[in-house]
Amino acid sequence: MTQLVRIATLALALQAVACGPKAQMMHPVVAAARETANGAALAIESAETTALLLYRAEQEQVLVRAKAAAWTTLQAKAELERVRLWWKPVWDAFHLARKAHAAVRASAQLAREAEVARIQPDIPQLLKVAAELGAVQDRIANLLTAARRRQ
Amino acid sequence: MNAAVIKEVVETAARLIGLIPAASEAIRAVLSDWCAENEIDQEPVLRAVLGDLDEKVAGVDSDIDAKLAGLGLKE
Repeated sequence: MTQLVRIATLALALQAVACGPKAQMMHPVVAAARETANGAALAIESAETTALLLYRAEQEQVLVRAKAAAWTTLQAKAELERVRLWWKPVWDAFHLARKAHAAVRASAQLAREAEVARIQPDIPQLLKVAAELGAVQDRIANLLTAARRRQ
Repeated sequence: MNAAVIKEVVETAARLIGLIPAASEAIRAVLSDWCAENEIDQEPVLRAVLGDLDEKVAGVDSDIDAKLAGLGLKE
């Protein structure tokens, strides 16, 4: 859903470009992309903090169970390893999100420079990277929902 | 800018983030402005303060491993 909103924002900005004089109306496209990037930076940071808290809490629960049930160290380590393996795709998704965020920022910067130079910005590329960022953010949201259910 | 001052700022910011993780983005923004005002390359400063995700995950794992060792479970 969030991805659709972001794409719609960019699409509206594109529509504005198509309807008005180029020099004045190009700005909303770049602005929308930059806004997307800024919002994503905060969202990713916040999601990372949440993920780390959940990750720690899940492992601490393992320690509580290990103590209560008098597991051996080997059993506890195996269970912790199982938890850590489950989380690996989450960390991979965050790495992807950082890359996608950097791509949106870079594309928005290039588009702004093109605008200044009165060259047509690469709008399809801007839309493509924004969509990729939205997709990975949605993936992170889904993974965190699944992580909460494990607690 | 004196290196000792930069070190002090980095350590203080890192402590603050450790105490209030939810403030990390605000602290990042303040640091970014501070670096710009003082003509300091912000990338190494931010990295030193915030660390990257892998370091944070490794930090959690290390804490948990230490707690496990302290439980006194049978081998």
